[in-house]
Amino acid sequence: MKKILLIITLVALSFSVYAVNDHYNKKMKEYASSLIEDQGLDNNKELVYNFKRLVKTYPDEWEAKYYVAYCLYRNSYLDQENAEYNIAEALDFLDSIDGELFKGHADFLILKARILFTVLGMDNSQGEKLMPQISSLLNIALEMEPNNSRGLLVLGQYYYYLPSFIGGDKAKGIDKFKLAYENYVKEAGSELPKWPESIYTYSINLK
Amino acid sequence: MINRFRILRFGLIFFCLLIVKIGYSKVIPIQGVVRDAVTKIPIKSALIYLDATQYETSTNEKGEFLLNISDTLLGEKVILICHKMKYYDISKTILIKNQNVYNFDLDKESNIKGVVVSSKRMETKDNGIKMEIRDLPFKSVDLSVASAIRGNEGAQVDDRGEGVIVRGGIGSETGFVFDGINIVDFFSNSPDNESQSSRFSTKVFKNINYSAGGFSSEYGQYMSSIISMESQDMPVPPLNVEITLSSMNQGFSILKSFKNKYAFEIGSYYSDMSLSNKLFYNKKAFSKFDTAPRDFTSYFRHITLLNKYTALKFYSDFSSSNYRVSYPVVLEGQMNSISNSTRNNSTFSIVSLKHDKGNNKVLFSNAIQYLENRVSSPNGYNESTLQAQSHLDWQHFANKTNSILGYDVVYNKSNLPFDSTTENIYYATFANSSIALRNNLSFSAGLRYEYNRINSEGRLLPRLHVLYAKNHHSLKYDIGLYSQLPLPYFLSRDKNLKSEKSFQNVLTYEYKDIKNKNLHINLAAYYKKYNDLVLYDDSGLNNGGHGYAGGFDIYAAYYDVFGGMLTSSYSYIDSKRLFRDYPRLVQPSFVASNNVRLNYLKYSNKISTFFNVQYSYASGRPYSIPSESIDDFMSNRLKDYNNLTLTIAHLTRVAKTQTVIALSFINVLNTQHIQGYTYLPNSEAVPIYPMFNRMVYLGVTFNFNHKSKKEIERELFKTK
Repeated sequence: MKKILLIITLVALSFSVYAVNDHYNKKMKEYASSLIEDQGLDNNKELVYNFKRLVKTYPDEWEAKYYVAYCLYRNSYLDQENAEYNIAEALDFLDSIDGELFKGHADFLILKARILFTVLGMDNSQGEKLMPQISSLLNIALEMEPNNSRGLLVLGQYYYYLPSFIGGDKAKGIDKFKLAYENYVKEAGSELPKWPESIYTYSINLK
Repeated sequence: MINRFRILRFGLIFFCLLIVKIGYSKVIPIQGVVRDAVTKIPIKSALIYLDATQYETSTNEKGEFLLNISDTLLGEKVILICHKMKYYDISKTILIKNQNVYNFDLDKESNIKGVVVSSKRMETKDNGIKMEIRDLPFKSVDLSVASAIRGNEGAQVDDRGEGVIVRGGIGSETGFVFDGINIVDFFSNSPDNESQSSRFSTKVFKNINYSAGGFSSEYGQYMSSIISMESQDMPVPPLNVEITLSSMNQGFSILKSFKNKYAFEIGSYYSDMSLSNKLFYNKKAFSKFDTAPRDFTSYFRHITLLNKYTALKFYSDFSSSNYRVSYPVVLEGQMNSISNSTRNNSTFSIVSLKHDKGNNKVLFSNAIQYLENRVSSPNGYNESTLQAQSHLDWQHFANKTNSILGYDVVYNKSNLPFDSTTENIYYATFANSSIALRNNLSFSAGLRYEYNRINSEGRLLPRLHVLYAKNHHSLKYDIGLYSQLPLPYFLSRDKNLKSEKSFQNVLTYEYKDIKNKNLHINLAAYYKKYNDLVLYDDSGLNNGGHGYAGGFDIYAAYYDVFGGMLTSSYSYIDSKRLFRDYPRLVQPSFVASNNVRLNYLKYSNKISTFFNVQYSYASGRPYSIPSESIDDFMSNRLKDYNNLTLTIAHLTRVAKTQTVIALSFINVLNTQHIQGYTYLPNSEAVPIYPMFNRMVYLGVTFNFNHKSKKEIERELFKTK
């Protein structure tokens, strides 16, 4: 009898915990699919708002935080007039994430590397400051997840766009783009954060 | 046995309570209507939610909502938020009762967001063109800010030792500003008609903005244009050593930062033109160097980050230069040569506090500058200037406006040749406010009040700016009054002279879409009216001078021409002045009517090399002949100015060190530039050619960076 009661109690408690997680998962799925379906600026701004709400409700979940930073960054190319402001906001948000949580997820490191790479594209004079940071972020991220398609894509950008005297190599960059796309295809259906396929296809067609 | 029974009993009670709780848990409704605050029309699909919970719902077609929450929240205080895109959120702290009705009237936010963007854009436009510091090494041999500016929007292309001449404004009418402080001695010392170089290392600066006119009330004391330089905040490499060896100068700098909180840098540069003088002296030149220009500059800077938003910066330098020039002169009916030796010492020190947090930016700077010139010649003289300045500006961004308030106090004492002295305290306070009238249109009004103790003159300088900006296009109109105290040389003779003034009208159109179209176009038309210019005529020194400058500037940059960047600019100006010793209203001797600059910059990734080709043209300037009549004054024109310069910079690694090898050919075609004429007793005209007409520069810069993996990780993850 005691055992039965214990099992029923645990099931009931698990159900209530599941109900909470279910809400989080359902909302994440809804917002993430909206991210792909509508790539307009207004929708992106709304997604920033909604992901921020999820962060407030579920402060321990990392994916919502990831998507806030990602959508803030996406604002920078959807709203180019305020690109610098949007990028600064995305970086500020990433910097506000607890250091241990940030370090524990390769996708945070990769996203930051990608944003810093955009900053470098806008202002080459920051190369001295940003290049070691980007390289370090990618090294750590790909050590954790060697087949992460997003990490491989940014690594490809790093090799492709940097001048050769500071380590750039176009051929190596294109190899990484191809590898990134292969892994992107394999990741289909997984729950991992996704970047639009067009970035991968554009990159592998670079010469 | 008893214990087992008790556990079983408590378990059963807990289980029953749980079942009761799950099965009979009640819901409490929160309901209401959401409407537009102005039109009162119901808003559908507005989001209603309890902050930091999973409770949320949205409004129906009639703007109605019903949010069911658990009765466990009964009696609790919660935050109910209503959100709809392009409207302001409303949040209400409510006490949950059995029945809860709350209505929301939302205000639209779209206009106000437009204001924020527009007022920021207005601020950006007021600062003028941002110079790309990163391009300087490849665009100008001397890494000079002034060289990079020449040929941009209204700045004349030729360098004849007169500073930067912008839209008909003489060199002294263009101000160089370092963190809000006006620089007395921006250029290194050079003989008349020879090119000048900047005394500051460009590494010290983060941003350089150039405004050819119509600048905001924040800037005063200059009536033509402003070049504003903002010093770097925290340099990132913990240790950076740079060594430069070249045919013209040698230098080193060491920068060290600690814990991303403190940074120190020392640097010294020694420039010696002796080798260039031996190899490239222009044999046609009117003068010759007995001692070629030598210049030693040493600087120190320190930065402390007081917190994430506040930096305290200190910069100090000392510069010493000298040269000796021989000029041919006619003495006792025969050609002779006299020597003129000039030694210049100067020092500049500045402490600035910069705070940048949220909607507020504050800059508080204090500086002291001293310079002396000792000229040894048959009519030798000494002169010196001491200037101390305090500057404060506070900028606030609000939802609808962007405002700036501040002051300048400048003490200046100039000891001039032949024991004349001027001493002045300049007080100024300024305010500028930008506001968007509607989407894409913003309006900015500024006022600057200035008072000079030397002539007890106070004046108000109003300035207005209107900006229409949409997507990649912007149209800006600036109108305003600018003034400048006469040079100390004039004031020492008559302390009652009033300030010289210019009334400026500038209309600027800009198209900038570098990301999609690789194109940046800037068109400007302007008209400036000068009043109260210093004139010396039969009645002595007075403010009876006047004049005007009108014209247009065209600038176009295309970022993808055979993989490189092509920039072209053309300026036309019609300017006349009656000032100084001019007997009538004429085009001044420093103004060239037509200016052209073409620049092509390409980086080859394969060979890690920059190629830069620059062609500059300026039409001949007017000059006067002593024997000419007043009607013919300044009616002659010098030969046109042409200059083709090639620069190649190869980037490589030498022993793990980033190395730049630069080779420049200045005035490749050896076009002779006539700067003016001097006249022999028989009225024969002798052209004045510069001593350096064509030159070659070869230099190597080594850059050692040191940054450990741990230091990078500490920076990235903010861990100890």
